Amino acid sequence: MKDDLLDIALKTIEKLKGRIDQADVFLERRKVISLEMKKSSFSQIEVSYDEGLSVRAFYKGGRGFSSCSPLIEENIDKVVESAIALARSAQPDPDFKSLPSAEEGKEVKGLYDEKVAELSPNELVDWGKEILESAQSVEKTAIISGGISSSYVEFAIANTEGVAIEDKRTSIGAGVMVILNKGEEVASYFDFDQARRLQDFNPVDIGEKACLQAKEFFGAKQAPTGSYPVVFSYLASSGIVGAIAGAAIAEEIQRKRSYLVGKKGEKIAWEGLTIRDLPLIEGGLASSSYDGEGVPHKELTLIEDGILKNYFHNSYTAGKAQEENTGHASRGSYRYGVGISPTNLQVDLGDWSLDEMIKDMKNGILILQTSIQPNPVSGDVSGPIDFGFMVENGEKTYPLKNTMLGFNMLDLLQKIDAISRDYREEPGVKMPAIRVQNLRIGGGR
Amino acid sequence: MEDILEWLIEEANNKGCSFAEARYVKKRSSSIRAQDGRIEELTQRESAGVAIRVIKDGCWGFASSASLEKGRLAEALYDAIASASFLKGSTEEKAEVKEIPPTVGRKELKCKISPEDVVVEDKAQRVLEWEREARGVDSERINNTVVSLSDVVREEMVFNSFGTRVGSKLVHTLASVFVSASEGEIRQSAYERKGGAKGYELVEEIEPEEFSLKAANKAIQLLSASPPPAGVFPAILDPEVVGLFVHEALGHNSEADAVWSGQSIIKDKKGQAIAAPCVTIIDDATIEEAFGFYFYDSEGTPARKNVIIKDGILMDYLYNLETAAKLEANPTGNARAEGYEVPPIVRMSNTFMAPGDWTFEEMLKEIKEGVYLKGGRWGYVYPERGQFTFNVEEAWLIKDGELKEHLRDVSMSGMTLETLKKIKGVSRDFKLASPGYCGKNGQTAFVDNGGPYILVEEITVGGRR
Repeated sequence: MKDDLLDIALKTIEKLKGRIDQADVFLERRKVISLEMKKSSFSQIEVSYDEGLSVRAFYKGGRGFSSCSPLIEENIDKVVESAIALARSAQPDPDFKSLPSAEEGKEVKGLYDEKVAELSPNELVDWGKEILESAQSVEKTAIISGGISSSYVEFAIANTEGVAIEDKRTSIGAGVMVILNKGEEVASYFDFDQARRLQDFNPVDIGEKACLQAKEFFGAKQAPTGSYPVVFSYLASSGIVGAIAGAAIAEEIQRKRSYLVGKKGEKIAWEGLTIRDLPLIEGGLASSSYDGEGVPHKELTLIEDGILKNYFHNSYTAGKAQEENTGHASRGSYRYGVGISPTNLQVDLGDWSLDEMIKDMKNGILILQTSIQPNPVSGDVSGPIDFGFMVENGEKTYPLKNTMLGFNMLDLLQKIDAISRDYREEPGVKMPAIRVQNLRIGGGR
Repeated sequence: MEDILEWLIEEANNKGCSFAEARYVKKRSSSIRAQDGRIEELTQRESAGVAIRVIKDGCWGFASSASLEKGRLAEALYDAIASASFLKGSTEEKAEVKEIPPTVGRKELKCKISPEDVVVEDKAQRVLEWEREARGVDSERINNTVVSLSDVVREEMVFNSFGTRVGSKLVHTLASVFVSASEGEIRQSAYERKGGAKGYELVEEIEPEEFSLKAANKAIQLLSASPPPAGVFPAILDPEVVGLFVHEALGHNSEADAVWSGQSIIKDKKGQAIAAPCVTIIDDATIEEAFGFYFYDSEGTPARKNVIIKDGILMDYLYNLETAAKLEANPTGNARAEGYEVPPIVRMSNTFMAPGDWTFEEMLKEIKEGVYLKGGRWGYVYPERGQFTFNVEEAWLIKDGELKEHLRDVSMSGMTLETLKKIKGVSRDFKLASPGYCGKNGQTAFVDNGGPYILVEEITVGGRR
């Protein structure tokens, strides 16, 4: 079945109309080429082709979801019938108001690049060689693993209320993990680069960067238990921003599963903190004209001068709250249903340099990367510092191991006291560093 | 389908591949979810496709297709062969697989009640009952309950150029309940799950006291728990946390791909004492009804029981065909692929620490000031550095051999090799009941893990006071 995806989508909608209250359909074809790197060489090239569709049907608000691959006529009929039957077995949901109707979105440039769509495995191998060489130029004995992957996706979304869109996307990314051994000691670091367009993809020096950074992690020690100011460098701070946004998802709020319940309009953070969601940035990794239900994307302010301004909605949560739909419905692939997710999250830049923040803190902790996984309900965080350093008298002194952070997200937000003007940029987002006063660190006695 | 798989192997041979593998996977899954008193979504998923893997000129090539037309599958085979040739001359080591005698067979999990024979209304009824039970524990303070029930039927056929021809059909059923509660500004949540390589009979066996009521009571009790202290403490770990430790901290390091590529902290320690003598750790895919059970792995090797550590000594690693060849070992049946779209990689199955002879009370008496950690929430490791972190559902402060203060939102971390040696005691009581999904290289696998209670001399706790 090589028809245009939107045609198939519209034909599928015709099969659903009249048999159910409302429905939408999502169709997808995807080709992925990836090169795997292991033990400082290449281990495998993978070429995969996937296609499928899913239907969400609504009956008195009750929801049936069915998905199938591959895209063949009999599967389409099967999915239509099963989604209808499931929706009729679900219970009526008065909170469901309606799927969105058709509305024109703004065009976003730079999300598809023919040069990426047509990449051959050969070109991936060439980049791979450069990445390996760049890491080995720093340390010959480095153990390097990782990979490079390019993908091309075409998809269509249609619903019974008139939404009918189709689009295509490309993406390319490389990641590298460097491990260094010195006697019994091991040091490691990870770096990456990703883009939608070839012009934004510069992976060659990630090997060198990861290797140089890994070298600094020899001689790691536990920090003494105590309270310290903490600088979350670019990648670590973006983890914090992502965690806050995750708690502002309307589904989590409405189900009372978030520490941001009831906080809209309140000052939850330091007045210097402003976070925006920018879905229309050219070439942005999370950019697109429409959300996963076909609602036009627009900019949204999450936090302005420390005040929580908005929650992220899809059509269901917006209808339930009787608020404007912010257009944050997300779809992972045809296999999964519709969720809610932010797009490109941008923190307004501050006026410090990262170096000034570190010097000014005198004694504290600098974190390069760490995974912030708050208990979504309470906002409590208790986790390790994955890659960090002790700072004494304004200077990095030793790398950390086996050192834990403990704080509550709401407390952390109030304790922010500086944001950097310098940043790390990935397509669609500039990530500044953030400094927080007085966090509890669990380490040695 | 068998004919096409045969043809693919034959065609790969004709094109000069030294090894070829064609794997067909078909999955059907259904799930049902109730939230806050209402069945809100019913889901069905179905997918099928073929994965092709070849070695040509000493290089690997892999391709997959969701389309089952012979023409499309032939294209996928040629893509795989072309991929291998793109790597020619660019790899350090030759791709190879351990040549083992072929396996031929077909096995099917016999469940008492096939989930496909149960009408959706019956499943919905059960899910709603659990939801009602959980909410009923304290309808004032409980403000969100999510209960779900899902089943997956997975068929896999593996054909390879050594003559292996296996087919298997598995059924997995999983039920879970999530409860969130609040009082003033304090919010807490709790979770329970039951699952196995079995059919709908799992549902019939579930006792509310051990499931819906347990999760709800736990969430309520956590509302009055305190945040943990920060620092280093002696600790007792319950079977769930031990399961997390065994899987995350040691298990991933025992996967031979990490050993071969130099990323494992136990890469050159075979035959050495790496743990206290009371520690024995096993991975066993043959435990019937356990969530990580299977008949054959995704390379067609029969599943088996593998002892990783025996009485503190590192015995062996977990292998697939490739790492068995590289490290001159025998494949252990640990090559697993999530679906047709990905190649098999080295994975665990049911991983556990074997029981010992202590009692929980004896362990408590050993501790003047420490923590008891119970119920694993999440965990992750940097295998190469040997550092692990786990977040546990609840904990208690231990003072003078007694459980004192109830603690919430506790994470612990440590260095794997140090912690293995600091295990002082292992209990008689044992539990393998943490059905879940393990993620690696973007693939998920059904696994289970567990063990006894253990007493550890020191663990780092991340706290707020």
